[in-house]
Amino acid sequence: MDKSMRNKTAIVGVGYSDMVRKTDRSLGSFAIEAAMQAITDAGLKPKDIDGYAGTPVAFGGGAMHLDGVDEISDRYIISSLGLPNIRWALDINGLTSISLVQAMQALAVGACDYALVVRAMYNPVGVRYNQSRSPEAGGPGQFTDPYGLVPMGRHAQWLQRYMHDSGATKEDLFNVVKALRDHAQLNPYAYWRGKDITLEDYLASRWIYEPLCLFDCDMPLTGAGAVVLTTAERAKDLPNPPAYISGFASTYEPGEAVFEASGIGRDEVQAAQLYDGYIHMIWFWLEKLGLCGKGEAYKFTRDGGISLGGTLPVTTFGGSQGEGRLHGMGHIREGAMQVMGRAGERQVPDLENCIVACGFESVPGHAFMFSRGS
Amino acid sequence: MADSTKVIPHADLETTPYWEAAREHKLKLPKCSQDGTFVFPPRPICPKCHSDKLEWTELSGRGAVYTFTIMHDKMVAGFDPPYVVAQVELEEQAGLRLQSNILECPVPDVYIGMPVEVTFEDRSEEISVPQFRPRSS
Ligand SMILES: [Zn+2]
Repeated sequence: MDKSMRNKTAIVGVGYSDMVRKTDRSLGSFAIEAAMQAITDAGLKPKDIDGYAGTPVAFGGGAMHLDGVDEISDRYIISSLGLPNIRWALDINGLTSISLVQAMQALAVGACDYALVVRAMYNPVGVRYNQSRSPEAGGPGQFTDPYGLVPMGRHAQWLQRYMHDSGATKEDLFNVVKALRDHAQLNPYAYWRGKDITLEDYLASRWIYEPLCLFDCDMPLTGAGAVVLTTAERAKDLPNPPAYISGFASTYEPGEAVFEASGIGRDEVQAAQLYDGYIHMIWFWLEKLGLCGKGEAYKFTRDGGISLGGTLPVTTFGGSQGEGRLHGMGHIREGAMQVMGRAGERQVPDLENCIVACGFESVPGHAFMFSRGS
Repeated sequence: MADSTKVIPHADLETTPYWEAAREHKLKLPKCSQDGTFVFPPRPICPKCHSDKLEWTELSGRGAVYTFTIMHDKMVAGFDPPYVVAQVELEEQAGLRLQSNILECPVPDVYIGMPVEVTFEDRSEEISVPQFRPRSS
């Protein structure tokens, strides 16, 4: 296992925007807000930024793929912020975590010294997110679309099998929804802050992809997030305590690799930011990372294990479910905030290491270990 | 009765024999002549032994529901919710799973482990898609 990236890079600044359902602001204005905040938070100026990584792609049947409208490209950010010293930039299609991997590697080989990573997502009004439009399906879709399966249906199929094999119930799944909703109450940027959820609300909500109901799915929103990374040596000279990236794994099976790469054991991890685009992904990741035994995650979440104050607080900012959908940017940002000791009311005490995991089964996963420096 | 509003598959260089077989109401997949592995989705080599000696071979069409979802939203043209999309595991090989609707079966009756068999749904003169329905034995 590759240990060469251990503690070579760190997150040194984070940026937020509001997360909103509808807006008359352009998506670009959200992205710029988050990007500028991250640069300032890092104690830097736009001219210091010489690297950029992004995942601009818009999803869903209503996607227009127009730069500045529903996607924000490297070009858009570089020209809007007037970044004069960019010498490395890359847009790639995937979850935000792939940008983090790209930025770390660019820093490690000296392709840049200060890398900005931005993710902005747009919620088109009046368009059903998952509506399919094409009359013909090629590639992998030729074996799925003729049966009326949308990609998210696979997640529901995974959950159906998990519940069958483990004995988990919808009431068990509600415990995860509730834990993340509770965490969102402590996050000033969370869309669902100020809105509680009860078991009755949950069980009464409509099915989307049974056994996934409305409150198991994150909601399309408009918003953006950003982080700034630099090398470990440069991080020491900046105002924030660095969130060192002590290890990562970018593979379909990151479960073992991230611990080997970082040299940090499961018992040394005090919090986990696990991806939750669909709520059962928390179970998936708890088991995939070996934090719970196979078929055991639902018991752990039932018994309060993932709540703040529990054995292993999970997705402490509310996640895609509670804060809002940013395809992993929120998880990365919160991992950094926890390690920096800046998570406010939701800070996990005496935290040394936080694991961050994004992706799911059919999507290459990315798992990172974020660590406080010694 | 052909239903032209549903999405139809677009065959490619690796999958054309699959859809040609389906048109003749046969379920075929490439099978490794070295170790007998069925390869799905169809690929040029066997992922187990890397042999490129694959032969398109007809399957029994028998299997069981591995898992499923019930789609409740009107998202896809030609499909009126609620409808089932199941992963059917074919009896020839563990892990060999095809997506399918479960035809000739009320939605609430579908369950994990349900024995099913292949049938074919004609979408046009040229295109038929493999589907599964309950079988008695
Ligand atoms: Zn073989």
